[in-house]
Parts: sequence; structure tokens; C-alpha cells
Amino acid sequence: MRPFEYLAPKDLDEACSLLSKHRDEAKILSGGQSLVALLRQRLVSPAYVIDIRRVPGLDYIREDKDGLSIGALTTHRTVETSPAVAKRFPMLAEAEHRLAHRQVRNWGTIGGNLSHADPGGDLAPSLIALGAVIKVVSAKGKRTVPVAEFFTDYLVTVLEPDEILVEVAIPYLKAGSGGAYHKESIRAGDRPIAAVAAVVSLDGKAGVIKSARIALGGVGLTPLEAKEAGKSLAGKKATAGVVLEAGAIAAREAQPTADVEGSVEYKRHIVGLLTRDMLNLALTRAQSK
Amino acid sequence: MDELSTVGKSVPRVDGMEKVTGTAKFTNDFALPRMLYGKVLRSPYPHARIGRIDVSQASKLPGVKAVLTGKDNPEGRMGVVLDRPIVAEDEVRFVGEAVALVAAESLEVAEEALDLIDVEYEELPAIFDAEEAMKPHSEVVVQLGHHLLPSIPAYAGHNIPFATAEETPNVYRAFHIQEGDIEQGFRESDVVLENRFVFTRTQHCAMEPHCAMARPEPDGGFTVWASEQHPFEAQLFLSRIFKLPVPKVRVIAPFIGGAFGGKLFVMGMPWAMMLARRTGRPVKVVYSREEVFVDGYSDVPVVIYIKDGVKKDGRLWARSVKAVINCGAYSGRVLLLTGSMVMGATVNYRIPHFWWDSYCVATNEPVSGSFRGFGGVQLIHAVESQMDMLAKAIGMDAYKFRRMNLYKEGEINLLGQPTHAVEAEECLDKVAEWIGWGKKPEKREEGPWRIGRGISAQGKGGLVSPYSLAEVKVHFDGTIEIRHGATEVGQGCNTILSQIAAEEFQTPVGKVRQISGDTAVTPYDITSTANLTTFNTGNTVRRACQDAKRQIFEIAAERLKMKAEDLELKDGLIYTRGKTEAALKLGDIFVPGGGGTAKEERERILKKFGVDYMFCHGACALEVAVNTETGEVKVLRIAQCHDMGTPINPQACEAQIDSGNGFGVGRALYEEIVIENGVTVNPNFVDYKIPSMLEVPLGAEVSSMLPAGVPHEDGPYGGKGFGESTNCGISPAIAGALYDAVGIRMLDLPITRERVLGALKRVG
Repeated sequence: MRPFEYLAPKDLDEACSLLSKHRDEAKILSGGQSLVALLRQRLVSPAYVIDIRRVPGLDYIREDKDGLSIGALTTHRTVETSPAVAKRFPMLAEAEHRLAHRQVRNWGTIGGNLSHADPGGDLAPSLIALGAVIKVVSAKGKRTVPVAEFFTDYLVTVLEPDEILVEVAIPYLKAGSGGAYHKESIRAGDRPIAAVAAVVSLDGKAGVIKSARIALGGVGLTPLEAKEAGKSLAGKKATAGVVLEAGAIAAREAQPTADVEGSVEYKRHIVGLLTRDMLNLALTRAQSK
Repeated sequence: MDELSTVGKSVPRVDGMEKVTGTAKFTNDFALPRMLYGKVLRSPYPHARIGRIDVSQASKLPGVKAVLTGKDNPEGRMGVVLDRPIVAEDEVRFVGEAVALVAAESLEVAEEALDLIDVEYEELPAIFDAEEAMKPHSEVVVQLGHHLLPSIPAYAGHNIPFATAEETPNVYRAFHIQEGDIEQGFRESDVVLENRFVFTRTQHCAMEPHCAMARPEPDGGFTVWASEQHPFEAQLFLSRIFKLPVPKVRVIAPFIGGAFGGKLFVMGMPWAMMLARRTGRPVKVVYSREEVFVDGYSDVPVVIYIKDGVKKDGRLWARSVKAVINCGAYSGRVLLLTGSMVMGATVNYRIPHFWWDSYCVATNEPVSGSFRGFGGVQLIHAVESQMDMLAKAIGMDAYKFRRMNLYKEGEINLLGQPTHAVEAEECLDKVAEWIGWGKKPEKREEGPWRIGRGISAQGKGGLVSPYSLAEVKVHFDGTIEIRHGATEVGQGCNTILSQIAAEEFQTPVGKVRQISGDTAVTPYDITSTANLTTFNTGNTVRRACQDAKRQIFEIAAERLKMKAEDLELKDGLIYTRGKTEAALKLGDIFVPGGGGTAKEERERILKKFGVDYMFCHGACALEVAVNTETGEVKVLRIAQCHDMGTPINPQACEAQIDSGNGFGVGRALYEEIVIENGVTVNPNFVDYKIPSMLEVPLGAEVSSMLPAGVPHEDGPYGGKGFGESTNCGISPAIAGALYDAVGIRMLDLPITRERVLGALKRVG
């Protein structure tokens, strides 16, 4: 770790002004679960570390009229155990439950997780499939970005050097919709071999899929949306064959590289299996709603 | 002694409270005034000639107090055959070898300084595969030919042709033993089965990384605090390296946060001492986790060829083994493995015709080290996998086949040593019963999952050593102070040794105080490895206690005008035999010392048997589920049972078995240091997969059993050591269970998901 200056703004305005002053020379610290590892390995060596943990008003889960809003400083553990999340988006609670281990979830925040942009991060696939948006602020103003467009490269996002992620907003699912997420990993809590989130909406009459969104984790430089796989399901009756075919398409859309988690072929194989299983689970949930 | 009061009871660990509350002191908890931080610049090349090293920029960095290279090396070298320079000199021979050292006022400055050292390398051809390196005319890694090494005693008397140093320059050491006539054995066998098993490199992953702090002393010597299993060996090696009289190097090993054979190589210490010598200030060197993986003397990659012959009636008839051991770029301790590994094939089963060859081969991979079981994991996996396949080939049950071939009490094993205090059959029976061997599991499948069961037996020997000393000091207040040279590496020896002293003095364990692991104040001990401590140090502590008691009784007898043999000791009071009122307090006859050694014990044993080793035996049975779509294997239930003579502390014994489960499952299914062209690609706990508690069975799904407990005639209270074989039988049982579940036989470790899936596809 290289020495740095530690700054602890008291509110969001001060955080934004520090960030606009130091820009590329600064990194934001919230739970520290990603940043500290990078600092230790000297993969990043900022001159300033801006600790936003004391910034008020960023730790909340709010049930708004159209969706659920989660503040950036909300910890994974809070999301995992939130009754509102369990009621509205069980797939998100499930994703959190297998995110690393409880010690990490007690410290790590959703804002830090998304800003870090690990392609194997557990939240992004579900948020992409659910059509969530990210709210960011800077000294100059604020903007929103769909999670699906947030990640641009390995550990890189659309965030400008002076911007801070402040909230994730997830629109409620309509009746007849359901979602599911699973990460296949060598050990519980590991990075994924592959992870798949699926959200489906059924047409009023049983068995026909109105729309489907499938997103993948750990099989590319960023979390990915398997758009073709999602499209292949629209307007079709939810049969085993259709689901299997979507899995095969998603496996082709994945862009994995070989590493200690698995070979390219194995990761694609897992994407296929998980897409099948998550679609089936999402369909069951959609039918019960 | 008929009734034991403390030995045989599950007393709580004497260091439990300190460790659980975080007050126990490990090496890195110590700091000294004016202490500097040492860091090591390591080679990025597997084999290269070192050109110019420019340290000028690094030396100029504020806070840097010394930058040293191979030119500053002390005279001596490291390793069993003293072949590894402390810092690389003309060449580097593996990725991670030390090229320069820095001492600085802070760790951050030391790390920064490493970046400023400029080294010119000229890359040289490198060789990584041991079988390749063993071939004649292979690229030469070793600089010392094996003709410089100690001779190979087992070859004496056998006219066995063996390649010369010139023909196979990278073979450090070879080892051979034989029994009967191997060719005749195979001719007489009804079934002959031959396989090749491949094992990759794994790390001990002790929670505490290697760490050393050296303080230069005014007399030119050093005091060194270190996470080191064998402080006396370290003292000797360090005194040789720095050409100092032995007592001028004082090695103190505080609590050690796990060792498992990985803390035996004076690691970090010579670097801290070099830097301390140059700066005149204390220097601490702490390995990062990455450094532990790269230069932490990990377990060896091995290739084992094994050929077995068996009679139709189930008698094991012939076995030949060839083991090729990749010892890495320097000798480390691994060349001893050529000999010690043989135990996995010689102490459990009766085999009339036996042939063993092992070779330790140098390559440009990181230096290999010793590891819990010292070759047992690999060899027992191969042997036990063969036992399954042989049983199937002759249509016998795998459990019955093993059982009928096990050695019985008194039989002379293939090492020429008697089998004693053996409960191998009982161990096998107990685990078979627990797992329900021979009965159908409740379910065989669920969705893509298939269930199967496996079983294994295992054994390991430990040297009966004369080199263990203990002192006992009886304090005025009745406190019994034992001083011994064993190290508490987490295995619980301080508890066991306290129990033994408490038993001898008939006093509570809490009245025993220990001083250990300091070469300046504790007597010599050979090492806390190889299942030794309970047996050797335990015997020694017991004898020292008896000697101290003898002296106490002599003085008390004179005082009381009685005979010494009429006196007894209990809770710090001296009684006349048969009386309930104490005659004297221990403090009344304050006695400062008593000494005892295990030498007499060994001489007595040798006279009786000619024994050099004591052996432990055990068995494992388990149930796995295999996912036929993903290849994932989960261990559902696991039982182990191991003989250990009289268990001194049954709970501690069960805990040893529990810990073996985690080790064994990790080795079987997950753990593997991945090295590509000499570069370790997964030197951290994210990429190197050790199982967490979520990957091993827990609670009711685990049974760690002890057999009835046949006392070992020569062990302390009949006890013997066993901790090292508890991790060796898991992988073959898992491999057997996989075969049972889905009909695939996995020979190599680890049995990863992808390898399982590949094998499933091959069998369709």
C-alpha cells in the first residue's frame, strides 16, 4: 500500500467538492471491501482517499410508489435481511445471501460494489434484468444511468472522476412477473464460475412469455445482458424446449475467459444450465403471482 | 499407576482462553524500539543470469537504511544440503527467488524501494516437469551433483544399477527398498493392475504467514523471534549460515499460527539477520500471503507409478512403486521425502513382494517443502485407489479386501519394524459401521445428484527419537514448571504435556506452567513434526517429572526420617503412603531442578525390538453427492477412526481428526497451486481454493472416533502420535465414493468439477 491522505467529508456536498478538486487522484472509500484489496496490491495508488461513511442520508431502503430505492451506503447485509427486499425482489436477497461471507456483507455497501464494477459482482445481473437505474451526483449536478449501461470495461464504469453513485432505483415487477438469480461457484461465496439472473413477464393467459431479460455475471469484462437469449423467449409458450434454447443462446452470448474458476467451455456450459434453471424458477414465480 | 486422574481426560486447552480472546502473542505481535521493516525483491524469471543490479535509486529513498544483494550474503547457504544462497548470486532459479533485500523505517517505504531497484536479467532455458528434468542430458538446474550428497543406504548390498550424476544431473537423491522377488510376485499374481497418479502442488495455508524478527546483540550474535516449528534446527542452520557459535544465535518461537510442516526452513530469518547485521538495528520480515504461496515451501508435485499384483483369494501379493518428486529449484527439505513417503505403502498392508524407487528431482519451480503427512497424502491416495480397483477386479468387497490384508499386532512391516498397538481393523470396522457400509444409502439420486460411498485405510510412522529433553522445576508454591523444546503450533502439545506433568505430580493442570520454544532457556528437542511430540516430548516430560519427584522424596525422607518409597505427592503436598494427613508441603523442601531424557527409553525400546518408529493406523469412510450436470462433488458425511494408543486427551484427538477432514477435503477437491511457466498464478485465498466450513460436513454428519485404545508399550501412559495421517485417507475415499456413485475413477488430485465432468462425458 502506498501512503495517501485520508479525507472524511461530513456531508454529500463536501464529498462532491473534494472529488471535483482531486478528481483522478482520489478514490472513494465506503465499506472498503474492494478498495482496500486494490490498495494493498497497489493496483490503485490514490493520493487521496475520501471516506464517505459518515456522509448522512445514503443508508436507506425505501418503498416508493413505483419502485424500491436503495441508498449507496446501504450494506449488503441490510439488503439481504430487508423485509421490503424479501417481499419485492426475493432474487436480490438471494444474490446478497451468497455474496462473499457475512463479515464482508456487514461492511460492504451496494454503492461500492457497483462502482467497483467487478464483472463477477453479485448485484449487477439481477439489477440489469430488473431494469434498475443508478443515480449519480457531482458538484455540477445529477443524472441517472440504467444499470445495463453503467459498466463499460473491466473495473470501469460510466462514472466521471468527480461523480459519486448515490442510489439504485428498482421498478416493481408487474403482476405475472417473476425473477431468479443463481451464482455457480467453486466454494460458497466465491467469485462466480458463472452467474445468471432471469426476469420473465407472462401474458395474462397462462404459459406465454411476454418479455424476458437475462443477465450474466462473471463471464465477460463486465456484467452482460444476454439480449438475444431474452428476445428468443418473447411471445413464445414457456416450454422446456424454448427454455433450453434460450440457455444455449445465452451460453453463446457469454464472453468468458479461462481462469482458476473454470475454462471457457465450462463457463459457457454453466451459463446454459443456469439460464435454464433460473428461467424455470422465474416462470414458476411469475405463475404464482 | 492404576487410576489416572488427568491423562485420558478431555481437559480444556491450556492456551484456549488466550487464543480465543486474542491476547496470545505471535511473532508479528512483537516489535522492538528502532525496528526496521525488511522486504524482499523477488525474481520474475524461472531461470536467468543476473547482470548488473542498480540499487542507487532505492538507497537514496528517504527512510531506506539498507539495500543488500547476493554480494552481501553470509558465507553459508540454506537447505538440507546447503545449496540455496540466502540471496541469489549469479543466477536465479525460480520465480520468487530473493534477488535483493531492503530495510526501511516503514513497510511502505520498503515496498517503494523494491520498485526502484533495477536488475538486469539474461533469461536462460528453464525446466518445470520433474519427469522431463530427470531425463539424461536435461537442462541442468542443480549445481551440486548428487555424488556430493549422503550415500543411499538402502542400496547397500543390492546390486542395483542407478544412473550417475552425469547421466541424470537433476536427481538430487534416490531411495530404494525391496522385499521378496518382485517379478516372481507379479508372475504368481492372478490380477495385475498398473496406474499413474499425478499430484499438483498445494500450500499449508497456515493462518499466520511466515515471520521473523532479528535483533543484533552486542556480542555479535542475534536474537531471532520467528514463526518456526523447530527453533533448535533453525539455531543450528543460522549459526552455520552466519558462521557463529551456536549459542550466539538465540531463536524464540512464540505461539505459532499453524505450521503443518511449512515452518521448518529458517524462512525469513536469514534475511532479517543480514539486514540487522548491516544496519545494527532490529529488523522484521513478514511474508505477504503471496510470498507464502510463492516461496513458502509448498507441498511437492509428485508422479506416482504403482503396479500391484493380487491373488484371487484376496491376498495382496506384489507391489512396485516409482515416485518422481518435483523438489523445485533447491533442496529444501524435500529430498528427505524420497524416504519418508514410503511409509504410505509399507506400514498398513502385508505384501510378500515389494519394490520401491523414489527420485527427488530439481526443476525451476519454487522450492518444495514438507507437508502434513510428508508424502502420505499422495502415496495413500494412490495406494488406496489401487485397493479399490484391485478389490473390484477380483470381485471382493473393498472393505473386506482391505481388512484381510492389514497387519496384525507383532507382524514385522516392510520397513522391518514391528507393528504395535495397532487397531487398524477396529478403526476400519467402526467407520464402515458408521457410514452403513454394505447397506444401501437412503437415496441414490436426487435431480442431477448421485450419491456414493467410499472407504480407505491409512498409516504413518513417526521416528522414536532420542533427541528430546525436558526440565522440570518445582516452585515454592507447588507450581510445576516444565521447560521443553517442543513448539505449540496449534496441535495442542502444551495441553498434552501439561496433563502429563499434572498426572505425575497429582496436581491440577492449572498448576503446571510451561516455558517452551526458546533455544536460550529450554532444553533441546528434535522438532515438533512427524507425529513426534506426544510420544517423545511426552515421554521426556514424564521422566523429568519422575526424576524431580525422586529428588523431592529423597529430601523429604531425610527430613521425615522415613523411606523415600513410602512417600506420595498430591496437590503440592507430600503424604506418607496410606495417611490422609499431609506430612510436608512441597514448598518446604524447595528443589530447583531435575532432568530426564528419552535416551533411556529409546535404548530400552531398541534392545527389545530394534525399533526406530512407532506407527499409527486409521480408516475413513464417507458419502458424497456428485452433480452429473456440473461435476460438483459434495462430501455429505464423513467418519474417521485412528489408533493412538492411549489417548492422553480424547477431545484433542478428536479435534485432530476434525482438522484432518478439512485438510483432506481441500486436497481432494479444491486445492492446487497453479504454476504456468514457473509463475504462480493463484497466490492468494481468492484464487487458491481452501474449503470453508460451508464445504466440509459438520455436526451430526461427522464422526471422529477413537478405537478402544490399546496402549503402546513405550509411549507416555501408552500414548502415541497420529495427527499426520488424519488428512491422508480422505481423497482415496472420495475417489472411491465417486466410483460408487457414477462409475468414474479419478486418479489425480485435485478432483475438480471440470475433471469430473470430463470423466463423466467420457463414460457417457
